[in-house]
Amino acid sequence: MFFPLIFLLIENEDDRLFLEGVYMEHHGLMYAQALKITRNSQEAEDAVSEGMLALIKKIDLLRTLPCNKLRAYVVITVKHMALNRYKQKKRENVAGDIAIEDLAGNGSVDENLLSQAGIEQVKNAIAALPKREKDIMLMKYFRELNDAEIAEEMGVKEVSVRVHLSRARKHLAQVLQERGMGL
Amino acid sequence: MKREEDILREACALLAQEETQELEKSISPKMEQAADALYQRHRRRVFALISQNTKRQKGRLAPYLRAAACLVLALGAAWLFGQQNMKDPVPADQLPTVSVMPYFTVEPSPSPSVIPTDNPTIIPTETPEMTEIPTIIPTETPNQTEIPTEIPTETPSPAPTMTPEPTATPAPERKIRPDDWSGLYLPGRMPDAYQWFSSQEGENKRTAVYTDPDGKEITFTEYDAEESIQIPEDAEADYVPLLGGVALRIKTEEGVTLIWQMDGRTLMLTAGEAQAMEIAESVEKISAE
Repeated sequence: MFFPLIFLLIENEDDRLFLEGVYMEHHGLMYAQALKITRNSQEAEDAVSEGMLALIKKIDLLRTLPCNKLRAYVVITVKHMALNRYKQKKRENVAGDIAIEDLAGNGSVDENLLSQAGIEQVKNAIAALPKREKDIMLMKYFRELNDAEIAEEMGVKEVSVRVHLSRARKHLAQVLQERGMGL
Repeated sequence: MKREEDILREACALLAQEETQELEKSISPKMEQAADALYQRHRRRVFALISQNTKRQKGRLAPYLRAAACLVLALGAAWLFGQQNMKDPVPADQLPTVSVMPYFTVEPSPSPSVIPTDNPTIIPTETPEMTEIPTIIPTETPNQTEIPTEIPTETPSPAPTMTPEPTATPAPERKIRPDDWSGLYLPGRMPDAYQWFSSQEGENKRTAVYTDPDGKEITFTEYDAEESIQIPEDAEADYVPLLGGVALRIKTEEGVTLIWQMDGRTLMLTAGEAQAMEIAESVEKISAE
């Protein structure tokens, strides 16, 4: 029975060292990002702590990322945490303006449209989306959070997440069409 | 649908990397200092958080599956071993004597973890390194050479037994000065329980960290040039006289941070509120430029 115990200890130690390494390597960017958004050292610390907790949950994914993507993942995670704190502080009602009819349709973007537009143009189109929609796209497609995780992070119901995602995809298709891409 | 998601994933990854690059470009030296100051005071809590949550994280299904797999392997090996022994039994008198260790423990290595970065930082693990061999002060030895003034005439009594007095164990010398400090200034005094723990060298700065046995920290940072440090708008800050000049005093959760300038250099000290001023007053020039 010693084998499994040793195995677990090694793995925990390995995870701990990996995450400490991530934190030590990117702490400058993490705190700078958090400070930029919250403008408050205490809030920034809390955002970094929450970011680390979110990263721990995704440790298996993090291990697969090349260093530039890992750095971006860490920064975007802290950014989302800081934004959430900022929003909470302002007591914004995140899901306040969602109309239930927005759920109609799956909000998918035409595959051909995406294929023809090219990654770079899709990226630019996502960047042009309203801030919240852009962030939710990043949560879903970059941080690979599921709807429940996004809902928990944003402090909204899962149904609201689906509405936001659906809306974001519709807007994305609209932006791509307006820019005459692929059509 | 799969292809659509792949494209969105790639596009989002590109966007995230682009945003990160923009952030890197936009970080001013002031912001860098503020971020570093936050890191210095917050890192212990983050390390504790990582330590706690990596244990918890693995307490789900995967470890049980692995444990079960290992158990099956171990049982399988035992069964095979048993089968082998049944085929080719060894006489009892030829059986080897096996001594079984009552237990063994696995401890995480205490060696420091070093992560290669542009500005490598070495975070020592829990046990602070003893950098100096404690000086052993010789204790007074009981005087055993005294000659009794009266010589016994009859039966000589046994020589008096000299019980050596218990000697106090010398305390290791407290170290408050870093070994290889590249700066010009250092605190001359530290509260009793604190001693130098580690130093970190940056591009234009260096930081000395002092800790007490409870893990509380005092940090002293020296910047090569006069830096204006950005503080949050809502920070509780005031100015206090210090060493013939003025220092900015910012209240933090742990205590206070004092920032002041000396001879074209910026000095920053973070310590408990009661100790900070006294330590700052003791800062002195340790070498010529």
